[in-house]
Amino acid sequence: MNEILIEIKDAIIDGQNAIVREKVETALMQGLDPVDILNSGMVDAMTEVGRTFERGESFVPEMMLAARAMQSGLAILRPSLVKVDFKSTGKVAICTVKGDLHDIGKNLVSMMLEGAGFEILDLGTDVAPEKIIAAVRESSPDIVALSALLTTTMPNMKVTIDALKTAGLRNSVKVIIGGAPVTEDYARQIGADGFSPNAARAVNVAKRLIGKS
Amino acid sequence: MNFQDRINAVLHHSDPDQVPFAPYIECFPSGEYERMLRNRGMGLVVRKPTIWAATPHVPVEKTVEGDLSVTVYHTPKGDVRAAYKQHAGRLYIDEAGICVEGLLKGLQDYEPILYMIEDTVFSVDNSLYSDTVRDLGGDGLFTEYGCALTPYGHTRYIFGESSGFDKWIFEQADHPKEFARLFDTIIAREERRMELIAGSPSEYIRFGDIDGSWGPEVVRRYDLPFIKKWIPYLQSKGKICCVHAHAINLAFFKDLIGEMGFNVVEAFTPPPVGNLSIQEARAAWGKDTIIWVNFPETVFYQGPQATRKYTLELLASDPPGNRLVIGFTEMGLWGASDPETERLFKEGILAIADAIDEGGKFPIQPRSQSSHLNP
Repeated sequence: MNEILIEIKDAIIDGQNAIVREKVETALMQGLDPVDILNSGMVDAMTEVGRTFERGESFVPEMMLAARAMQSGLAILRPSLVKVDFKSTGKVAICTVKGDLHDIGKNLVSMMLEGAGFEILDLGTDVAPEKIIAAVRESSPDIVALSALLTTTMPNMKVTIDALKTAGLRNSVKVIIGGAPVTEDYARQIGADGFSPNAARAVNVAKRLIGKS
Repeated sequence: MNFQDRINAVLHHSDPDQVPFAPYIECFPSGEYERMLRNRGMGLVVRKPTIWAATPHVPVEKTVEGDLSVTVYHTPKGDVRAAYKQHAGRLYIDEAGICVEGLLKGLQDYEPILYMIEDTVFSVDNSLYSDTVRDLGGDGLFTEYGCALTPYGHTRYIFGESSGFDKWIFEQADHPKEFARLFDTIIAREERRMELIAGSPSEYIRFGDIDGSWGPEVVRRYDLPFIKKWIPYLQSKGKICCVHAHAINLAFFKDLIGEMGFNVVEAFTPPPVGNLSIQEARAAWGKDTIIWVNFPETVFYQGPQATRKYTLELLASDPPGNRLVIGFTEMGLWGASDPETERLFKEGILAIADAIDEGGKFPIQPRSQSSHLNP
């Protein structure tokens, strides 16, 4: 791999904002393909962060710092990606379900998905099914990702899935769920398509569901 | 045994008649349902402080802006403000609300906040302790809650807890010198608090938590020295110390918790929600550490029969059961706002009480373990 791509990757893993910006600028000046910079430098870095997170070698702070560094590099890279008509991996509408105001988990999943090349439509917290349905109709995401931190708000994941069915939209999107109290059994029980126990694994689940793994 | 005798038997390394069922009092709206459970042996855990903090040279102004409750602190070094969303649901009814704006938003806020920390004066008022102990009688346990946060945990709250989490993380990376000064100033304040905690009339002390969001190395760096200094000191004064270990990735903290020296590991959330089984924890922490389970309420959604079966297997996974407590330390019934969830939770909690009656009598006999209890 090109030396500068390795430097970009390492700087993202270390959460080095300024260095990522500088290296991405340098890589572009050197004429590197922006898609290579994205995939080999940046997405690979976030994949590695996900791996270490799964192993308990890195935690939320490291993930957030890496995601921020990736974002700062992406801001430099984005105009070049537009020029080459780069297509995102997929589009994800994400929210914390109605009754739940917690957003740390949702934000982490958003960061990791964005780091894997997904386009994110963040609908916020305490989101009613009607708002999700409107977003699906308007933006046609590939995936709806639902988060809950409170055990007592988990049922609103099922309410949302049922509302998608009633609206005739269930077959047009995949639904993944997650959050501290959520389990794989529960995901099966309520008819979700996928479940992730943490933000890192959400990327693999999302890719698998849309056939990009 | 009444509940108090039972929980004290566990805390004092004696043998209870059965595993105590001991949730936080906040996890049950008081009334008929709670009374029914208490009549079946459930006890109530009440967390209150005996140490009070004031900042005598910082006038405080409270206002309401729409659905926000705003508190402004006027310090000689400048003003800082925090905002709380009111009417944020049943969970937050009895409190100021959920924090949506923490005190520390930028570099300009450090000086006023440092002033507030240094200006903090602690005082002792044991009235909540004596009132609570009198009210509970044999039905509960008082927990000293005046030192619930570690010094590092306090830094997080200054940024607004959940709403300021990202700011808190980025600030440590972007302004490490300022953050270190904040932390050191908090340490100095907390040293003063801990001296008073040692004199608390409460035997049972909660200190700090294992959140799981940040890793063991961060805990080792920031909190472990403080813990290693103060937990043995409190224990030398006859205190029983617990850590609130509610992380769902507790397996990554197993060795660290072993080093901390707490008597009780509370809020322990076993699989299928957490990633550390009681058996693994017991192997790591030894037979004398009291494991206080936060029942994984997600099991309730499988119905009362599954809850009963799960509880029986949980009990059987830690024989003979004399260092085990089952409770709720996060949610319980609190927050169940729709009738179906409330019904499922009420049936589930009754199923736990049934299972403790059936399989929680001391000494519990070992039996084969279900895969549900493994991470």
